[in-house]
Amino acid sequence: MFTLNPNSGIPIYRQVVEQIRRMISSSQLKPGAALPSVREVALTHAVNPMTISKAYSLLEAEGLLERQRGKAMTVASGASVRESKTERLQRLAPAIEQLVIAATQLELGIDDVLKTVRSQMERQQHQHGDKQ
Amino acid sequence: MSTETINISKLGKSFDGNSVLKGVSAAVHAGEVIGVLGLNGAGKTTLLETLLGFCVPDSGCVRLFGRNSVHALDTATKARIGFVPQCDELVESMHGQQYLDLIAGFYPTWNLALIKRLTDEWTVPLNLKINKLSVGQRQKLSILAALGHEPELLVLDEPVASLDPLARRQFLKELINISAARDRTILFSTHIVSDLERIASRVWLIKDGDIAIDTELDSIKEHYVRVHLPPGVSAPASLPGLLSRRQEQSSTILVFNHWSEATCTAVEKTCGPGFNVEVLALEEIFLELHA
Amino acid sequence: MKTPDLPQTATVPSQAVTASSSGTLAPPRALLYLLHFLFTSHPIIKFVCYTGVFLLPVSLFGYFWSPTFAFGMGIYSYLAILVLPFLVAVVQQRILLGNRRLCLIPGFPLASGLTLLVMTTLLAAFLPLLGSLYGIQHLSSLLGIHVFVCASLYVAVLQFCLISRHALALLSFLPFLLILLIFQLSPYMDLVWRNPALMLLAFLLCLAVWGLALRSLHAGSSFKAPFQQTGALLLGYDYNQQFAPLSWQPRHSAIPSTPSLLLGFPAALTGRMLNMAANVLVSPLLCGVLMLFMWNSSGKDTPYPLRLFFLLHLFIVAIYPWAWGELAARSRLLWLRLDTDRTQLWQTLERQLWTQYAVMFSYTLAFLLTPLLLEQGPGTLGWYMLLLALSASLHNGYLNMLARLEHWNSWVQVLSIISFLCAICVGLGYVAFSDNYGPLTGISLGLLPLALWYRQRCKSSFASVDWVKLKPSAYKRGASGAT
Repeated sequence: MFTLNPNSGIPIYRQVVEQIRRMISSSQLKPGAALPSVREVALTHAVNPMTISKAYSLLEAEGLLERQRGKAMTVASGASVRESKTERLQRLAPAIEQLVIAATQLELGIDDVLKTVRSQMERQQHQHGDKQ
Repeated sequence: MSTETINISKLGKSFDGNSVLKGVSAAVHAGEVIGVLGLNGAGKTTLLETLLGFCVPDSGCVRLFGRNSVHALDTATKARIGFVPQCDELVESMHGQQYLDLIAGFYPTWNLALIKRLTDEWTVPLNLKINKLSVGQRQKLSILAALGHEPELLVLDEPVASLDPLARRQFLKELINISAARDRTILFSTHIVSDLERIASRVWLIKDGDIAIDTELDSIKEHYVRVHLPPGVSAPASLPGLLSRRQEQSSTILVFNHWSEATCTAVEKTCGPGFNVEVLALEEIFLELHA
Repeated sequence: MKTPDLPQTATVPSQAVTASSSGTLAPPRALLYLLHFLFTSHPIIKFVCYTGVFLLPVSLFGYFWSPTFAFGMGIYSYLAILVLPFLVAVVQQRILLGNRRLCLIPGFPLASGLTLLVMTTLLAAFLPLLGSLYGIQHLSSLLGIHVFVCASLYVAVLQFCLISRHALALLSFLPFLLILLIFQLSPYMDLVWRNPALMLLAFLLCLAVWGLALRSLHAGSSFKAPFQQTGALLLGYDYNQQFAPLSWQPRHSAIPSTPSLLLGFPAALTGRMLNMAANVLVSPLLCGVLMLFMWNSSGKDTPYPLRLFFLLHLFIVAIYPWAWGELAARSRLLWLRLDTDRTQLWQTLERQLWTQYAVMFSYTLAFLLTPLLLEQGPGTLGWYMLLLALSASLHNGYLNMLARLEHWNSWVQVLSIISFLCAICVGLGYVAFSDNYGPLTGISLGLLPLALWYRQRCKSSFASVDWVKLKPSAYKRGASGAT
């Protein structure tokens, strides 16, 4: 379910938290969906189970997940991670920064970059629309 | 205090006039997985073996499971410890199975089912004489000998140095199984930093005879960053949390060991907004600390 | 007696062989390197060798000035450059082959075997050449062949006897004795010696044996370095394997755990007896047989065989406990496994040590009680040597253990061995020259309080033994590959 990179500079629990958040906000994980157990994730990805349970606990504290008695963690029913546009744009900020740096290094003009971004986004939305 | 598996206080040990351990203090709680890093000769093996009472330290004391262990470990404590030394201690002329039976003879709570399962998974040939085994198979056998009695404290000194990636992954998964039971502690030293990043919850970095870093792995990754300043920008002499700086061609690189929001704002104030923050993998952090 | 450590120049041969390794035949450069190593393996040998080399031009050019003097110099050079190194080279070569890493280099065992052959040939060829140079008439025409056969015999005897480290220790005292014995011509040997045809036959036989030996060295993929397994003949025969408990099956009753870990092999009673027999019985028997053969062939009165074996056995009984200092290092394996503190661990250790002594002395007792020996008795010398061996073995066992526990400098250890041996020599000297057994008895009795004192010190040292510093020898051999 997750793609974890233990060797990156980002702690593992943070990677899990980010990925779960993204999946909930993109409705990949619907409310009530069960998440794999801590041990299962730890064994599949060969990481410390404590780090997974730390991630789960953090999300539980945020209200995104809830623990049911005797069962695994599930997505909270009221979990609406529909963040405001500003919040979502803030999430995009690092990627945009990387894009801008790369474009400047490649000495590309603003118009060219915007044109490429627009066409790429249109193509993505077209594909997404086809899927649905 | 009651859940402290190991408590080291001001441990000092010197050999032939060189002090290898200089006043080391640390504590380990039940359920932790501690990875011990350090340059060759930094004192990892000495620390691990002194912990377990293999030698009498010159100063300081060690408490295992709340009991003072410097001169004697009592029965109860010994049965709860498993140790995999750096140089394997296998009896050359015996078969693998005989050796395991031999070790099992020391522990009444030997888990045969566990050993059988691991032997099959790890494909350790138990019917061969030990002097015919390859180095990797010997290491696996040494690890098995330490796991059989399901110790609460498992101390491993470079247990995977000679294992291939598949074997290492299998071993890691077994360690995960062990540490999933919350009361079992693991302490291991290794050079394979990527393995440590997967499984350690806490890292000890041994440098110059002392534990230079004794923090949670996540915390280390969050606090150690490399900042690349754009070319031409210079950094002020002192910044909070700065570890080191260096020049690479025309740009300055700053390495921080206490990165936070406040530090970020401080850098932005003094160097402008055009800097790039790079998060570091554990190996990079290790290299920066020894640069 | 400690097996000498591999000298540092061992890296030179390995570089040579790896640098120019080829498939079938060892290249000349590797041979030269190995020759150089064998010639300079010991500081004394090196010194004597250099003096010989220095005087060689004197013998060559002095011909014009004073032929007799020059010839004398030539003989000295021969002895210094060839004979002395050769005597020691055989043992040195075995030590080289004992280095597992060197043996894994393709072509190395063959190269070392060839080096010995080259030395033997040089030894054989030098004298006749020298003779013909100086026009000496009365040198036998077959002198070269004589020397070749003798030298090959020497190599074969030494290789055959080097079955265990202890035979090595024994024979390192006796190479000169062996040489003398070989050159003592018995009537039967004389027949072969003077008959050119038979001599040539002997020569061809030697060549055949050399060929076989080199061939098996060359098939070196399965060559097992000799000292790795405490004994294997040059031809790859693993002696120790034969005596490992072959009938061990897991369903038999469990091997006693503590002694097995301490000693490093499955230490059920049978295992112990067999292991001890391999070290303490077989090598004296083999060496004794060979010595008897030499004595016999030289026509002198042979000593009573059982007495000879008994004396050789006593020699090994005296020095074998030197190896048991290792038990102190191996006790680290029991630290986390036995529910004892250090004092109790020392008691366990000592108990095992004494079991070893008991097993060893049981063989001595068996010798004593052997009917033949009972009839003849060990003889006066035998009884005194028995006393000496008993006290010396106790002394050596505790001395080495103390040396390990207190991390003595290796020079100190060597010094203590040398002083021990000097004392023995003095005692034996008195016996030999003035038939006075007093000093020998004095020494034997004096070793006992020393042994007790060492034991006390061992006991107190063990209470604070540092296993981080004291490691079993297997670690130094790099058994696990980790450094």
